[in-house]
Amino acid sequence: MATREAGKKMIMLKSPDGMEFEVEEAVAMESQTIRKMIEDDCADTAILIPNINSKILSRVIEYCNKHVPTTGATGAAASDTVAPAALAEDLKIWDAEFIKVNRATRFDLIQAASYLNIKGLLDLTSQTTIDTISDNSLEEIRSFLSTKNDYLPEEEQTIRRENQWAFQ
Amino acid sequence: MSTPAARSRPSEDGLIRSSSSPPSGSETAAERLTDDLLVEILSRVPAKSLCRFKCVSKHWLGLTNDRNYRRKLPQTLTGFYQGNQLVDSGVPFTNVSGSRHLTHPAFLPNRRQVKIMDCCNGLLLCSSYVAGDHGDVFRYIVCNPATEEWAEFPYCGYSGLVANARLCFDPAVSPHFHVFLLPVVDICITGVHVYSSETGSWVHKEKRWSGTIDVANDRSTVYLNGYLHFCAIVDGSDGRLAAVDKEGGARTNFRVPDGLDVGFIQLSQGCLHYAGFDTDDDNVVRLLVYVLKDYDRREWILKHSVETSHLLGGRATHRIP
Repeated sequence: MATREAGKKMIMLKSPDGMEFEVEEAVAMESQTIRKMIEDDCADTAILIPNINSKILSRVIEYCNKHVPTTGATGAAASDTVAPAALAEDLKIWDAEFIKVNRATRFDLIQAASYLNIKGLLDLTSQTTIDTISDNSLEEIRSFLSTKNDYLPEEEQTIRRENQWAFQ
Repeated sequence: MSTPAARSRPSEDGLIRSSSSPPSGSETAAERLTDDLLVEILSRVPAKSLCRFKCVSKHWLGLTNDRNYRRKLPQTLTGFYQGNQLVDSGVPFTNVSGSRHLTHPAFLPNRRQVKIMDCCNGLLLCSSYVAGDHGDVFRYIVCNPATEEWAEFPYCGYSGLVANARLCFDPAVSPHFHVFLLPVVDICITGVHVYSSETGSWVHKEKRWSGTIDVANDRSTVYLNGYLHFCAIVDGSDGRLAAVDKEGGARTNFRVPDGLDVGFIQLSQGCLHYAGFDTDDDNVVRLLVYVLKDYDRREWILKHSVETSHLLGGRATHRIP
């Protein structure tokens, strides 16, 4: 959790289960949703984030902390001494570690990234999900995403025939 | 399974809605994935995978057909119109499973020497002749084969040599289309004639670039970011791409991928692609497809590499000159 530093505007984020997270405004504004609320002056002291429990919200803040542009003296890595390519590589490795979570947590993160409108996190979580299932059989995909097969047998036969080329 | 209407959605303005139902303990995380989120995930698969995913469930099929979601998802291929041949009796269309039939677009009657010249984002550009008071007159036609809507307009009147007419249409930017004609003098483009469906007229702009641009042999073009891209010879060097806009401006600092001077460009999922054949030291011919993921950085990334013998069912292949 962030601690107050001189000259940094801090924002309080509250999860529905009552936890409070104090974060730098710049970090919170990685979320376009929160950015809009701050810019529209709808966020004086604290922002309640519905739908996102404290466990997920803390992971989201962790992500934003890592990805906020380090123009000031915020991050440990000062951007003017590290080449952009090296920084991008470092972020990629960090992302790969960050997303090593179980399926339920990943889906919660997708949901959170979408609600909070954090493009990078939505890209990361969605792409990882697709990479997981793209080579799976239909049955495995249904099971992974808890989707029921609601085709009648003859309907399924027809749709599979129409898309046969995609199975080759 | 819940119906689409019953599923919760983030509000359209992107703000958090406090009325959104909080996750309840009885649902699994996967069941909480709303349609919007499913589409978010599905938008990242290639078109071929999306076709396979249509078979997962009726619900997923419905998502891929949904008018609002379609723009986000990769567009799947139905088939090909055959261009550059006269089609007085019907326009040949070949679907992906290989069967071929003639289509009869609404503009076809009373026209002669109809030819499909170009297509762009779902619209076709055709040339044709219709009977006039003083003999046959030339008309361009732009049509939407899905809705059967069409419009016709005359030639711009320029009497010199022009590179092929090209259709430029980006429904995400404007409902109007443009047709570009590039006049050529001494094998160099001297400007651009542009027809606008908004004004219903042609405008000519002199070139605003320095140096010379010549259209290369390959006729593929891509309309992207307001510019018509084509394979070109720039200041005498081949293996280049050039792009012109409707004001006579140009971008010329594109190179084709190294070693692939013979190839063509196409647009897929919003990105410029370049494909060509490469022969390695063992005489194996491969089709290489590169993508310009980041347009501004002009860095080609290899997307597919496939031996042509696999593409053509094991038949011996030769490099296409």
